[in-house]
Amino acid sequence: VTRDESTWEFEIRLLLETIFFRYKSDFREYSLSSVRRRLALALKKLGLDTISQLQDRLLSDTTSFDVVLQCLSVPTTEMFRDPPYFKSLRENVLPILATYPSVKIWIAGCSTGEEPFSMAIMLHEEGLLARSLIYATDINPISLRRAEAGLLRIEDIQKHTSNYQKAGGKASFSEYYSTTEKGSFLRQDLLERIAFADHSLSTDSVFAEVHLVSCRNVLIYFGRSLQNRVFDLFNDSLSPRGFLGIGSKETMRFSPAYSAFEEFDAANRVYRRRIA
Amino acid sequence: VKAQQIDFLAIGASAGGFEAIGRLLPVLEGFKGMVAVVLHMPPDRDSPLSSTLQIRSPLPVKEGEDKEVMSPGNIYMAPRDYHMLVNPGGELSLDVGEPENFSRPSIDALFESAAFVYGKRMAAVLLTGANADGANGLKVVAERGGLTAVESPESARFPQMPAAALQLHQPSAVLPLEQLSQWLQTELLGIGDALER
Repeated sequence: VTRDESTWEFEIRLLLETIFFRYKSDFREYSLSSVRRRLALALKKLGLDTISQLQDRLLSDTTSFDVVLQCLSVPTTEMFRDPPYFKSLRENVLPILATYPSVKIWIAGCSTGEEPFSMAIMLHEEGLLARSLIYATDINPISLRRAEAGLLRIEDIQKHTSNYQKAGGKASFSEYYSTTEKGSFLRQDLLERIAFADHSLSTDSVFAEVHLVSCRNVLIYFGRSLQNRVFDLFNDSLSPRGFLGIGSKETMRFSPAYSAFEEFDAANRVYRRRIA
Repeated sequence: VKAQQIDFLAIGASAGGFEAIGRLLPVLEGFKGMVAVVLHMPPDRDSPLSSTLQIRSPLPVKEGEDKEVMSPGNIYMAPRDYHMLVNPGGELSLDVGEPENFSRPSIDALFESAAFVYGKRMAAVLLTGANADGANGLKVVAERGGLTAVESPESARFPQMPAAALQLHQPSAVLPLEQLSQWLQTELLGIGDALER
């Protein structure tokens, strides 16, 4: 490897160290190519040319970190994204959870809330919502605030509706939100069952025992060692025989925690903890 | 005679690209490096690309998996609806970030990330297409010392994508598909060139 080919890598690693020490946000184990792409976006937004300029800016100007954090966080998703995944949870996992006195679910990396909203609707339709609690966590405070308000983008509603139907929705999607002059909002009785919290998969630990963890298209932004940490964290957070769902292009196969799980629905990337 | 050692080849194609890539792959026989491909597919087509292209390919073709380290002599296809990026060490990384040039997977995303890892040890080839993806990526590849080639717009089935690239950047070669294959063979394997001279 020549010097020219790796200078950018050192610069980015140094920047991520700075962010960690200055702002306590840990992106040091993130996948480098995605980080480089997202930082290029941050440079453009801040009107800077180089990573070292950004380094200086972050030390002197804390508001620039908000821009960097927005760029480094994964953009929002749709409700019922990958409908077959949600259909599988509804048909194969929820009937098992229905036999428990209470149901706890953790949506890790919830962004602006589309996935916990989807989960709440499914639990409602399966008659489980009243005894369920959904923990929805993310590192981005702006996304979390939006999610807590239950806000839906009007331009996304058509996509949400079509996904909802493909995922086996039993009613009409329009029953689940109301539109005011401020925008469209998820129904309050659904939103009430979701506990939003700031939690970092890089640095924070287990906070509750849950029966299902759903963490989709988050792990791809992590390097392998952080992926392994997170799979261990999920393993430690799950009840015996608990379920784990991940993104359609993510896999547990390379992780040491894999041996603690069986493939429950391999096509939809749903795993289940083995009996220890 | 090879001017520089190429360890990594990136190919980008859009409309008309399935046939074009199929015609290009046979020249890769004997290539000891790694190959990554972004091919835009219409949203309604759901064919398993890697197995279909395998028929035309002398090297094994598979869909690139997240955090998979590429191994020499293999071809990795970007999966539908994900960007495929390259990390240091030749590790593939998937990304569902916003589309680039209305495309996901995006050719720019692959070319640029690979340029940062492979520098002058890579070549990038841009084929037929009806959008402007790949132009910027090709420029970054060249800036970092890599070889670039574009299918000539006059002979491409859809000229827009090659033409857009030529507006931004003057590549090492602009050739019709058949000559482009020969050029690639020379650059990757060092054969053909000596005979012609």
